[in-house]
Amino acid sequence: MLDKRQEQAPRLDDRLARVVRIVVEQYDGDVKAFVDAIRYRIEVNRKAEAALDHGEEAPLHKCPPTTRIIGRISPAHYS
Amino acid sequence: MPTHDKDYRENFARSLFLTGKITQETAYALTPRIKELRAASGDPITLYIDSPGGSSAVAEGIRFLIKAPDQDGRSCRLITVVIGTAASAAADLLALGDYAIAEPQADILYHGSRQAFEQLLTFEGATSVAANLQEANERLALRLARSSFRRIIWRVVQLKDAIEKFREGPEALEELVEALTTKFTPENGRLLREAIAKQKSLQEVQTAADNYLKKRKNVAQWPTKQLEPELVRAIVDFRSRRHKEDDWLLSRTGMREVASDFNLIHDYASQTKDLDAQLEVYGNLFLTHAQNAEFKSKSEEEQKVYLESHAADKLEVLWYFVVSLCRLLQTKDYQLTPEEAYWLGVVDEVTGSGLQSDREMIEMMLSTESATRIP
Repeated sequence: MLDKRQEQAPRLDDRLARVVRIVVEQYDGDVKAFVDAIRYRIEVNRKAEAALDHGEEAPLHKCPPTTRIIGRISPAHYS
Repeated sequence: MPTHDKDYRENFARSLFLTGKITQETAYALTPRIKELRAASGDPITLYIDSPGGSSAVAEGIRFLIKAPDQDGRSCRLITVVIGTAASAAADLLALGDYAIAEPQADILYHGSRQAFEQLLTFEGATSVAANLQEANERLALRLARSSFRRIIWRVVQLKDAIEKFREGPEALEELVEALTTKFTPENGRLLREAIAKQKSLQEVQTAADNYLKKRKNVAQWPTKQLEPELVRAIVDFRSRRHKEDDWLLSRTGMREVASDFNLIHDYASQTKDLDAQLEVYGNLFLTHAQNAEFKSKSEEEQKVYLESHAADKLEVLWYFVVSLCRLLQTKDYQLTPEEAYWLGVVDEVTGSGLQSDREMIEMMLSTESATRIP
């Protein structure tokens, strides 16, 4: 016999309620528009980060910490 | 980077594997690990499934063991993932996960409860077995409907033109379901069309019973003991009128039909509270643009009333449709692809499919919130 205690609806997640509010208020109830817009935004951010890593500012990003630079300077410079 | 939400992600470090036929031995083998995971933390447990099914009672026992409140009253979230096959009791277990994931290669198979016998059966024995199987099917169908309802809501709101019409009124449910049918093979699409026919019938019984009871005085004050026989009379009255041209008798299939209607209406009464909660969360998705504009101008209390009068009827017909669908899933064999299981509300997500999921929407929302938050 199945257990009656389990016959309750799953608990509602308030995060989903927030998603509903955003979809209704900002996307006129269009779920697909919400998903597409944010997928696009995330993709643009991802590409921008990738460009930063490989583009003109890459040397700055890959620049080693100051302590390591100082460590590489020959002691002769200070003598 | 998108935020990861552990409530919606499989986690191998806190996982169990349900493989092969589900028997009492399966439960014995899994229990120590379940207890170990529960004791370690309250984080979700992932259950990987590759099973042809087996005992529904054992599957339910395993689920309850994972989710049961501990001594401090804390429950545990169950994330189910089908990695191969989920058939019969395993398919039910998959769908009953708080978050259900299907891998793209998975097979999902539904059919009604079955019972094997090694001895000869008498007529009385066979009748009793048939009644038990019917009751088991009915309970499973309702349980499945409760799990699938939220998922179906998210599916139908993706059906752009059809949902616009449905927002105008619940009578457009058939068009909405027709749009949903395009996501299925012709064979499985028939399941949805049959469910629509059943949904209409259920809705009619409910309306007929309401009208019958309204004629009685102070029915709201009646004790259950008095109300239930009256409800049975209302259903018998409705079914007799409906079948007046057929060779319909209570002594043949009629009693089963009446019992099934009674269970549904009885359950619907206990479901009302849950539907109210769903209405509060998802009601807005079923308002037209003009209604939503009007809704926004109202106070919090007025908004509840507004949803009750403008969205409840749509959620109600959708609920009856989902119940009908889940009842049909328990009657014949239905083999579903992961995508079909998604559109049917059996799973929340199909990995790598690009189909939108609760996880994606929640993680997207959390990501954008954290990106706009002032440090």
